[in-house]
Amino acid sequence: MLSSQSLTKRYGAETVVDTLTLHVADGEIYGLLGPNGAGKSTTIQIFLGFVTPDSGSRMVAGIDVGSDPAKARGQIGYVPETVALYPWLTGRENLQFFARLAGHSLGRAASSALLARVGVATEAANRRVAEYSKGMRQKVGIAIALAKKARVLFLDEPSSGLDPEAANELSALLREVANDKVTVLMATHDLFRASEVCDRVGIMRHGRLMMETDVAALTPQALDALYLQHIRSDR
Amino acid sequence: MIGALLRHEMLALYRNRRLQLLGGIAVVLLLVSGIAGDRSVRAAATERARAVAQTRAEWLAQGPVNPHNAAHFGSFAFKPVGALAMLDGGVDPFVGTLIRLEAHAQNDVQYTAASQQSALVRLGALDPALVLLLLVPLVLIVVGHATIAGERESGRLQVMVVQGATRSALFWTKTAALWGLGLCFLVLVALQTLAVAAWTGGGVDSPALERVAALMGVYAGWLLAVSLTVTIVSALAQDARAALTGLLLLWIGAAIVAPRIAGRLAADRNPLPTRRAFQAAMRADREKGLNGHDPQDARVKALEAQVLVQYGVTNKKDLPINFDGISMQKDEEYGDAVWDRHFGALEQKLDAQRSNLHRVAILNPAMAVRALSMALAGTDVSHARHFQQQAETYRRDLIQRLNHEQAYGGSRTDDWDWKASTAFIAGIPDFVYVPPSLDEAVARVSTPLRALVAWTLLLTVIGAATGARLRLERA
Amino acid sequence: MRSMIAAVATAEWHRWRRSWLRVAVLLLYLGAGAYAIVAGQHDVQRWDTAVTAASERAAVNQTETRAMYASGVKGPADEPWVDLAVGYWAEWYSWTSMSVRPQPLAVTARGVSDVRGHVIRVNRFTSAFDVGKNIDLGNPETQALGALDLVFVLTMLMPLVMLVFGFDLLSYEREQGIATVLHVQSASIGRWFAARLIVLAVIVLVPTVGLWLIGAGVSGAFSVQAAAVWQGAGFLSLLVLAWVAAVGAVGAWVTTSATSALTLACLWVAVTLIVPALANQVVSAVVPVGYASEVTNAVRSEQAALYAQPPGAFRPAVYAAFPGLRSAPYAQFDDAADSLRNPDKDMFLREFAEHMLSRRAMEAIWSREVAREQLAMMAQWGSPTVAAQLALTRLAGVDAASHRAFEQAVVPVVRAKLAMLLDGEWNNRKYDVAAFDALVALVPPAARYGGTIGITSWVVLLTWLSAAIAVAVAGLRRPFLSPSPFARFSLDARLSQTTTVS
Repeated sequence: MLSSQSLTKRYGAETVVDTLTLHVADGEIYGLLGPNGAGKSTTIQIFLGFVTPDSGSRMVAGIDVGSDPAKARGQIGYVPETVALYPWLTGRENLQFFARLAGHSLGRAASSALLARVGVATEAANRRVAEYSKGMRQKVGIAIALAKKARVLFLDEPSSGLDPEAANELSALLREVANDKVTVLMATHDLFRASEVCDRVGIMRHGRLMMETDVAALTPQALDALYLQHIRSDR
Repeated sequence: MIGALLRHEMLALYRNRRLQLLGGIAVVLLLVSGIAGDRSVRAAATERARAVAQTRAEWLAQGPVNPHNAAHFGSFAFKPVGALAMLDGGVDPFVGTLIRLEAHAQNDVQYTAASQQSALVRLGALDPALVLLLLVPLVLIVVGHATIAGERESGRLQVMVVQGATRSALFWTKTAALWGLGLCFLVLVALQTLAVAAWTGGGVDSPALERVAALMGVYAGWLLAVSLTVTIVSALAQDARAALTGLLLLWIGAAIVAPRIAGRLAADRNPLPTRRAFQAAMRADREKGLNGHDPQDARVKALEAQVLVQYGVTNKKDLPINFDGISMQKDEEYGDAVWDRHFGALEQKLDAQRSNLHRVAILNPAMAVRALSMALAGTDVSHARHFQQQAETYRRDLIQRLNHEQAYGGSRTDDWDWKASTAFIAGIPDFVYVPPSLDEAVARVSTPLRALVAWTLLLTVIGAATGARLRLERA
Repeated sequence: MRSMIAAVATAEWHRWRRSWLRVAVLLLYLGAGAYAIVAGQHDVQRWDTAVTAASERAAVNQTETRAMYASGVKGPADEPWVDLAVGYWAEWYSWTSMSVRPQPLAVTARGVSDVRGHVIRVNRFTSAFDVGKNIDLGNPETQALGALDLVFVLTMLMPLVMLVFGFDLLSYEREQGIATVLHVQSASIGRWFAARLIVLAVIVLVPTVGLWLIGAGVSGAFSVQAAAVWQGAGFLSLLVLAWVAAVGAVGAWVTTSATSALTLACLWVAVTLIVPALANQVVSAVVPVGYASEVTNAVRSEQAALYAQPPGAFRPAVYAAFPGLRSAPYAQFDDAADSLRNPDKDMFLREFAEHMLSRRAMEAIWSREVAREQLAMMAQWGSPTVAAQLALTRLAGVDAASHRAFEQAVVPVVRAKLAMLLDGEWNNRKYDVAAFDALVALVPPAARYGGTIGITSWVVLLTWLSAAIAVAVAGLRRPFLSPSPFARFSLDARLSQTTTVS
């Protein structure tokens, strides 16, 4: 479960997150939409505990991030826009390393199983990450989060730079993860993917959550129109 | 186009914060090293002048004295400080400062500065030569390693070529900008040298000015070679990080590690004899010759017979001259021949070691510059040996005059109480050292000079080829 | 923490086995160390051989002299003026020499051993500055180039190795965005950082201390200088830790790998090249070496002045030094006319005065040496490399203080010889083989000199270590995404930020 109450963050005169209140249930996939500079990444950074809001509170898996950011991060998995892995390690070695940092020791069989779950075949798992496509890196990134048994998963622009097939695989994977009661929040401006995989979306503009809606009832075109309507409207 | 590129490069250097920081530090170090070096050199020159004056005064204060006693009283030759020692201290800390000049013995140059200092002396001294040889190239590496690689990574290189700049123009303007930066430090050194000379009132005489100009020429060539190397590596490297790594490793290897290895190998390939073996060999040869102190020595007896015949007497006490002076001079001449032979052999080994070092300089331009710098500053081993040879020539002349006076000045054989006049003693001139000319100094380092020129030309050719084929796209 | 270290160590192992550069650098480091050990052994053997040869020569000549005593001859057949029953001839033919043997740890450092003397023949005319005439033949050009000894490798090349292995510590992760993931994955990025530093320390510490122990082992230092060996190992360990902490300090503040590498390179240049060279320049300027005028005066003009004085002028000083002489039979001739005095006995009065003259000259030179060294010791506060050089050369017995101790040891031996000769001559004693042996025994056998690492050097390293740790901790305590103060020195300012704000 993931929630925030009136989160506000300012940098100088600019308010980058403005009284943000949202709630994402267990197993829900929430898409945070908005143009560049809307405050999506900052919002994620606030939930990760790397940026301290000027006011408001946020909870991750029932833990107040402001009070105990380290404990909160123990429940969080994070996949940045550019999945950061060590290029000279294989996919398996990266997974084992990052899992161990979180206190989870993965043997060869366990790491193979996890990588297979996210769609990285054993042969690919034993190749160095320097040779991976972006989609494969995304998968390893998600595997790292899963290895940690994170309750909440944050993704920042996950479909950016992915070809359609890889993006489809990613969508299916996220659905599978959410079915395990993992809360997923993804920041994106890929409306098509959002409509495909998210349960709900929120549209941000100038740091404000302009509106939230269930996606199930919307077609991609309807979501598109709703998005444009809200990002073009005056404050 | 060239003008625009050059202006752009200079503006980039001007705004480069790394250059501002490191360049500022290098300038401060240059000033400090120059001032401290000048103070040390002037203090040494003052003390040398005092020691020379005192030695002369002691010589003159002997008054009427038996010439052989005066020969044992002897004198000292004090090694002068190198013409441009404030710029490059060279090997001076490891070469002695004085030679004892006396009869029957050829002494070594003694009392090296290194023998009276801590182990820190092994880590070198901060003089302008060290700054120009090691630190300014480091500044050029820091500032210039990304000069092409960084532009390529950012995509700007392609854009510049699309806008009309040629590959070669880009390469040469960047090289010129780096070299210009290096030359700024060089000009600072030259100005500082002249300013200090003017301020101290000594001025810079013509020979010294020639050496300063030659030294600046050598370092200008060195900095050109460094600038070319930096630009070439930046052009060929995969990225700026690889260029920096490669250049730093090259700098450490060539400037720090290789000279020590070269020194070791040169010493091992042509090892010098131990002092004991050297002295034993000299002694053995010496004993085969005439012993002027032993009247019963067979050779002395033979010489005595010869002189007796020459003067038509049968007893040396009847000689109109002092036979002791003649026998001692013969003793001295034999000793000189032994010394020439053994020291000549030693010199050959030292020359062989130096040749080895110069051969290494063919592969390592940093070592070539070092050898040239010391030679031009008058602080290399050749200058030290030149001093030693002049001191030995003076010593032989001194002893010969004294022996001649002993023999023909009016005393008789076995008359050890006879004294030469004060005027005679005062008439023997003091030792005056005449340093070698610039041509002579350069002739001894012709191999490193040719190596530096060859390296600069080679790098220029490589640079031209690299510039013409400059890779524009990222790896 | 153990699991963190294990994770980091595993990742480093994978990196190493795929990085030819790292392996090459390590092999080069080990190779340089091995070469330095072999070269050091060669130098020490040469030194040791020279000392042994001198001792053996002296022993042979002493045996010949004893044979002359035994057979009752006055002296060598070709030197009829020699009478071994007379003290000064017995002393001349005692052929004694003093030497300094190399410490086993001299294998690790050259120090000033190639510019100071090791062997000196000691007779009643010997002065301490005669030691300086017995330096082995050397080429100033190769001496000036410096020595590739083990101390150079371990104190000056080791930080470069550290730089290659650790320059991008945390900066790489920041540049690639891995730092954020690390922070999310681990309980504390500080612990990950500490784990990286621990692994780095082990990677550099093992070969560094290993080379030192190997050098000590092959030289036999464990049986002669065991305490010094372990002291050196401890000191080198502290030096490695100080540099690891420096790498950590830079990594905690600098966010780009290139700037980090440059910062560490400049730090190395500063403490390894600039500070020592500047210290040398300052020391030479403040306490210049000069032209050894004390020596020239003692050798010539003041000595000549001694000869201008009657021997009686030196009697008070001799009696003050050797009060027992007042009761010697020759002492009753103190006020006798010159015609009644014995010049062979009187000459010792002047020789004692010459000895005191040369001793004063050397003491003046030694006191300036000590002043120079004290100034040089201050430089170690500015450079752990200087501290290490001074400390390890001291352990190896190749520092200036050790050689000076040898030179200073010559003075009392010469004095003892003069005392014995004066006593024998003034008491009209004839020399037999027992007296000859007593003369020989005045000269101690070849000794080893050296010392321990001063407390100051330890404090210097601890200070550097503490300061670097404090800087590193301060850097890590900064807010995770705060920009680096070094960003202005980056080539591309964008690289200094870990994430973009959107």
